[in-house]
Amino acid sequence: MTVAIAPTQTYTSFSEVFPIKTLQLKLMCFRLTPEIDKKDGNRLSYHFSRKLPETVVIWYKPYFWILAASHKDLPSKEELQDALKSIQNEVEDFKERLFGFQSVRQPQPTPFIYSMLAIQVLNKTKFNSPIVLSDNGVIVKREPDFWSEIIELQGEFQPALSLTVCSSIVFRDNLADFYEKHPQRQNSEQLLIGLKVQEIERGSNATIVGIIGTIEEHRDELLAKATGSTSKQALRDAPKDQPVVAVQFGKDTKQFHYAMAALRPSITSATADQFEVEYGKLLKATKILHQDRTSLLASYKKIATDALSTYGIQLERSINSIQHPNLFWKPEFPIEETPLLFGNNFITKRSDVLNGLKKGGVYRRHPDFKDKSKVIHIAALKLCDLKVDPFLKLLKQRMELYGFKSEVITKQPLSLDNLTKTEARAEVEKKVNELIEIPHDIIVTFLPQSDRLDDDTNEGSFYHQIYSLLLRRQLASQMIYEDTLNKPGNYQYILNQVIPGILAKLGNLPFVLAENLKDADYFIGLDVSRISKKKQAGTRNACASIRLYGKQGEFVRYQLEDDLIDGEEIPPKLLERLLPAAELANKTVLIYRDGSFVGNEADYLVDRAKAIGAKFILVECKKSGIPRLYNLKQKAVIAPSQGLGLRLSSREAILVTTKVPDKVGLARPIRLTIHEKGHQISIESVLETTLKLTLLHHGALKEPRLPMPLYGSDRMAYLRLQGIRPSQMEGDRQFWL
Amino acid sequence: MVWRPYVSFNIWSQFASSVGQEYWHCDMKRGFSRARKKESLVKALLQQDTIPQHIGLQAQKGIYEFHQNIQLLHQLDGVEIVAEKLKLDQEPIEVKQRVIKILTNYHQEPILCEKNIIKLSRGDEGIPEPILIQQGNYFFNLFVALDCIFIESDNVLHILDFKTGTSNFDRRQAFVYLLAATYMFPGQKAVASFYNLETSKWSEPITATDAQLKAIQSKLAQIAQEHQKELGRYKQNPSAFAEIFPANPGIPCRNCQFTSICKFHLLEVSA
Repeated sequence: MTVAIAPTQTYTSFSEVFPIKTLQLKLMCFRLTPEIDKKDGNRLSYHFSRKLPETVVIWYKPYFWILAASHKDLPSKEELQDALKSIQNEVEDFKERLFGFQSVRQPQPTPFIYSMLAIQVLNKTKFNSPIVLSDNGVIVKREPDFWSEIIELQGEFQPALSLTVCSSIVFRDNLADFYEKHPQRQNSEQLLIGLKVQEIERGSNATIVGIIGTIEEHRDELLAKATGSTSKQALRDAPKDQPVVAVQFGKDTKQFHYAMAALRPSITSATADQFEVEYGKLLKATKILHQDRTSLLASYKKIATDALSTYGIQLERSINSIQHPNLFWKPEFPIEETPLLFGNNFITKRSDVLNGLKKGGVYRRHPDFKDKSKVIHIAALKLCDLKVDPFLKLLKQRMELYGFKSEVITKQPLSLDNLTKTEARAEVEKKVNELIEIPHDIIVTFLPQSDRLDDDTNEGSFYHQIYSLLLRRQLASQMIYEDTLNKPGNYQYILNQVIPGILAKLGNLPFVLAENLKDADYFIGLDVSRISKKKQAGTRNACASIRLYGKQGEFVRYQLEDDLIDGEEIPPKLLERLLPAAELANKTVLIYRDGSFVGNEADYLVDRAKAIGAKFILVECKKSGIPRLYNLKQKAVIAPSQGLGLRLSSREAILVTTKVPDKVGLARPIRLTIHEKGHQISIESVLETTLKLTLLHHGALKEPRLPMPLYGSDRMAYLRLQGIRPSQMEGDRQFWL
Repeated sequence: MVWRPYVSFNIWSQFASSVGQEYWHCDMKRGFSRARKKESLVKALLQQDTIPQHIGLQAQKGIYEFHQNIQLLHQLDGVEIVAEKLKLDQEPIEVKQRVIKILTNYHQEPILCEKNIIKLSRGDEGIPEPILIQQGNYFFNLFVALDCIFIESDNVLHILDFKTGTSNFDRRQAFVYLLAATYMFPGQKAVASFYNLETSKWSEPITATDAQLKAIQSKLAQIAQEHQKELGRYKQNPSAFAEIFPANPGIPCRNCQFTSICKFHLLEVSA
């Protein structure tokens, strides 16, 4: 399919993408000498924006762009120099540096520059964020989020922005208040180090990594540097023994020193208990009803429109299918009707998977299970107080229904009562090792409910402990939480989810697409997992993985390569090993990259393709910073249909891959970008292929958000972060399901 | 005699290391000792008993000698007499010292003294008689060398395996013994255990259900098959040795007897 299709539905589709028009802008451009890098450029532009009233500044290599409000004059060179001087006085890193100004005559702003300037205007704009829940000092509020977009309209790129509503969970008071009221404040290191915090002014997330002293020792220095984030008064009032903390932002190893009044504690699933709030309740409050979303978006849009118009920027109606019918795409047939192929050449549609398995059996049995008399040996490890025999009986029956004999040959209950976590983990390890010594094909573990929230703790969850131990031995595992088995009425539902997954983990292919995918012979998911050590400075980038799928979306194999990698870029040597000529020579291969192709990766890939006579279509797949799509029916927002896409350009589109219940909110689409350096195909083709590749999840009946070649790469990465990897670096069993 | 595919616990352990020892695993080691064992260089290396192996063998012989002449266990110079029979004076000093310690331990605590022993091996009897096993339509030979079998007071068969050194017990070995027992002594209840002659530590008795033994038999059948396939592939294409038996250079090289002939030895490996 090469042509975008206008939807034929009765409803109208909308997006959160708003094109902008520029009127008479007060715009100028300059550069600093010597040339600065992106990080410094962004930091300086932030400070310039703060210093210059009713003016916004952005940096885009190599220039600074300045936009003043319509009624205001652009700053003179002297004013800019004064602002820079003042920034250099305040910000340590720039103190010793000498900069020269160079004006740029007849600058040529691109749509991206306009879009970035608009975003900077919104960054300076005050939005009211309604609070929807307040509990024990923790609040859930609805905030606007915005970022720049470029959209191709009538063959021309236009500046645009995405405006959306999101919920955030924050602590109402600042960290200083939290600390002063805390009963354990005497033990400040234990209380503060490792605590996740948010910078109040900019909302950036960080972690406290140290205490550098007290307010008394640093008050003058902090007062001199005080910006909008910490009022001078707050610093003057702070008790002299109050700690001054060092924080790290994300993976940046640089430490920044903060007065606690400039920070507030972050609330996460792991820290909610500390604030005596129920995280589940907070999460529930983050869900936004369609009606609320509509009205909030309207009010935020109004504020944004007013703010932008002050600067001569006009915010237009969001991209919709009435004005731009050709930009919206949907599959020719409803996605759930896509035909799938099961065993015995039995074909049925996606919505009929269970029937397909019942009537045709699995599409392909793993060589180990080719012989139908081969019995799947199951071990049941029970870490909770639950009767599991009835469930295991049904599990056996269901396996039989799909053509697989099975037997539970070992049942191992383990009571964790009266054991410390360390003792319990040692016991679990012992039991799992004992189970490994007997040749089971799969270990089904019944986990206590409490284990669900233990993933983020230092000691970790039993889930990951067991997963790790089994993975090392190439042993398939299936975890089932206690609460899902509390009601026997749920058993059939759980079996529907679990059995195809178990069969797939054992190397069988439950089903594939009945028709070949167009565009490529192979489909590959490529990802880099980074190891970053908790509470330690720096990150170590670690491992690249690929998953190879064939023309019918059939899983062929996975491969991991774990050379140490500097930065995020996958080096050519590694790519060669991951993309072997023997398999891919003279083939067309669509490569999905989880996130962006970094550095020279795309060049390496293109070179590799050339060297082996292949064509590589390079597609970036992003999961965050994606505008939502939705439908309107009689003026009310309804969920977008699964498969709804919005073409942003001939190389970029967003796609709704999942169906989300109304009470949960609106589906979060993915963004697909065809890299300009790879082999080119139509973006609509990529949408169709991607959508079909979401239908091949064997571990659940619901489609995942990502196409299967990428699905679970974050899980693989997560496992890596836990120090877990399969003992063999290549295999044909989908262990990550 | 009809030739059959074969398997043993030793082959199983060469396919999959014991639990927790995964980092020591190298398939190429199996390749040398199984596919290339007749080559002169490999043969020479295989014939060199490592010290731990030699200690194990001498210790086993020592226990056998004590029970050939049970009086030795009651004589003060029993240990010296057995040591003389074993010609320990001609052994390297480490072997001599450790075996004497083992004999002394056993002399002080002769765990089999009151047992109804029905089999006690000397350890150097050569290849044991194979056990023919049928798994579906597949027939294979299981080779099991049993150190000792005795009958417990409750008529349960007890298969005992002697250990030396500090390595942990691998329960899989006990399971293979228990499977063998179902063929050698059908209908008889059996347990297996390990006894470390150097530390005088006895493991807990290990048992397995019928279903578990069936799973073990099925696993052994699978390994026998894989083993034959590998050997066949190698025979057909010896140049594919490294692909059939991939090397895992690094930690496993530290105690590998084939490092002198392995081209992957000490190859730099990824972290």
